[in-house]
Amino acid sequence: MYDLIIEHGTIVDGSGLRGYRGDVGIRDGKLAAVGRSLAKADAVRRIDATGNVVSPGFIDPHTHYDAQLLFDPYVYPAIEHGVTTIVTGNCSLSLAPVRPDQREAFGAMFRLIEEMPKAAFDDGVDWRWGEGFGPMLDVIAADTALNVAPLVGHSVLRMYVMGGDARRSATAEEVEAMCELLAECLDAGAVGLSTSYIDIDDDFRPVPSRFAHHDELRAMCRVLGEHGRMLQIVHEFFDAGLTVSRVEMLGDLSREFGIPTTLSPLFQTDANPGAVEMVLRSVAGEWERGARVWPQVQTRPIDISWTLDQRSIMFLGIPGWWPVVSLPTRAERVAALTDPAVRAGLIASLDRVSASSHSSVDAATFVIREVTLEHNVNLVGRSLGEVAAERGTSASELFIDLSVEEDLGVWFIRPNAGHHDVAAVGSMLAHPLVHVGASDGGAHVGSFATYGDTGMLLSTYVRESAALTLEAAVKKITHDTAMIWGLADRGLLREGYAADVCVFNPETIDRGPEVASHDFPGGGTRWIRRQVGVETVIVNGVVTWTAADGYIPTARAGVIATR
Amino acid sequence: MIDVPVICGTDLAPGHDGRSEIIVSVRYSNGAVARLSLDQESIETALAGSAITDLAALHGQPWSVLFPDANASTTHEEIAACTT
Repeated sequence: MYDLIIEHGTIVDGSGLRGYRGDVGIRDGKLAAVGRSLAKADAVRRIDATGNVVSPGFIDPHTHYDAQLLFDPYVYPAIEHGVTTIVTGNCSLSLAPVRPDQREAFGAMFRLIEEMPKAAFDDGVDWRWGEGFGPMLDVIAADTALNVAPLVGHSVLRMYVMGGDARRSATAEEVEAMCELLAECLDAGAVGLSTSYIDIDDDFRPVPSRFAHHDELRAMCRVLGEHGRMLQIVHEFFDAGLTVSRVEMLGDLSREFGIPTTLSPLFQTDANPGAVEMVLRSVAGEWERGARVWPQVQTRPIDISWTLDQRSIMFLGIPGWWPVVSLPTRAERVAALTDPAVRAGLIASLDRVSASSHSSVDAATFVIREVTLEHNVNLVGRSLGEVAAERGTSASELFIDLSVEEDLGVWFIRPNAGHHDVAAVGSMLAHPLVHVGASDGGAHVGSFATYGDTGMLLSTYVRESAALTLEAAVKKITHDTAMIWGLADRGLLREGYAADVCVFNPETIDRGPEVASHDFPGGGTRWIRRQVGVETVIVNGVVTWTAADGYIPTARAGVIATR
Repeated sequence: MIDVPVICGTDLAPGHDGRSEIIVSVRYSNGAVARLSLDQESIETALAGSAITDLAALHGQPWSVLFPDANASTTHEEIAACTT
């Protein structure tokens, strides 16, 4: 007797081997049968997967769901995209170990770096575990619908050991204390250590991890080596030369201590041509010398959004605009935008920049993202160029006029501003040394949606451009990820493995449109994407989400994946 | 005396966080050119109180115009952490 049988689907098992027709049987949270016909077997429940793919659940290796996990056990809407395991605690920041008197300082740093609304963080994170890493994992494990593989943050370890004086070199005694604390966290279930070379705190000062001497990191990597765990870094991704230096540093650490390492993000932009090729050549060299260095590449393009209600440095690229957007009050900005002489000058300047072949700014490509007035709702999702043509005006004029009409409440977005060349990004994603990840899930919630990257992989880069085969893409986000991170018994449809399963339609799977959501504690807007084409998501044998029934209220089968 | 690098180019670029960044090219006295990316906060800090209102005005300026507080940082480590 099986608890669940998924029958008649195409099994893409995560190994990269060709998919085939077969059934999957689940018992006691584990895969009990994979491939053979279970037509005559008994089961409590059967799911007909005819026409659909049955694959391992997807593993997201770079998220910041740390806070959301504590007030939303589903990390909505991550699971419906097929994600069954997440890595938290990236970029030197984890919610433990944090001393009670450091909560406010840590919270401010976390909220700034991850762009988490203060109300959501303050209302949602109650610190009910006290301060320890193990107790925090106990709290998560008691009420999570998906699996968690948590990193412990280097900045947090420094703050815990060095107190409020964590922005300096550590003494030998402090380094020793940090190493002991790291070992405790690893024993409690940490999947590794994260550190950052770029992030700043709420006072715009470098985060504590950036003050660590390299020998401090080496000492901690020795501990990681003793536990066989991962070092994750966020590097100077805007500079190819510095990125190569970090790749070489990770190569040295990987070889010396026998650890896997990963850096994120690596992305392609016209502003830095040749950088990706240079970095990947360096990565290949480190692998040839025996190191494990995994650059993470995201699937989604980079979109830029802004409103005239806030000053964006984009306006430094349009002569005459910076003084206007810098005016201290909304009323003063509106007054300037409606002054005939100022308005004419701004329009002429924006027209000139838009027409320049050297400029990346073109008003006609601005897309209306969010409006405040009901009668403008039908404009959302349309470009200024398109609407302006209908109205017999120019995109530059419409940009100003619509902003004024909306009392500056309208938001605009420039889609595909970077990492959008499908051929170039597809080549990156298919590269054998590239780790598909860097979703940043749960971060930047007020700026853009970090959900649905797996759907985009399987639509844009498998179905539409054929940059990867379906089997290769599934392997990238399941078995490869489990192997890279040392997650035993996950990432494959194999008997005895954890029953993390995604059932999806390969002809329709995608990420949905970006939409505003107001579901976080404290209100406020965040951006999400719902799934398209996913049918069923199973976590440790428990049906957790289905297209028909949505989120199953009782499903809480997630575990700490490293325990 | 150390020659000060000079800003020789600026470009708007997409930032990882969904906001614009500015790629600044600086030329050293030996002719080498380096590029660095500055985000919203860095630019806001750098231009606070300055008369610069568009990117073209940065061209030809010493790069120190973008780091006005670097010499006032309290420790050598802080400067290093800011500029590495």
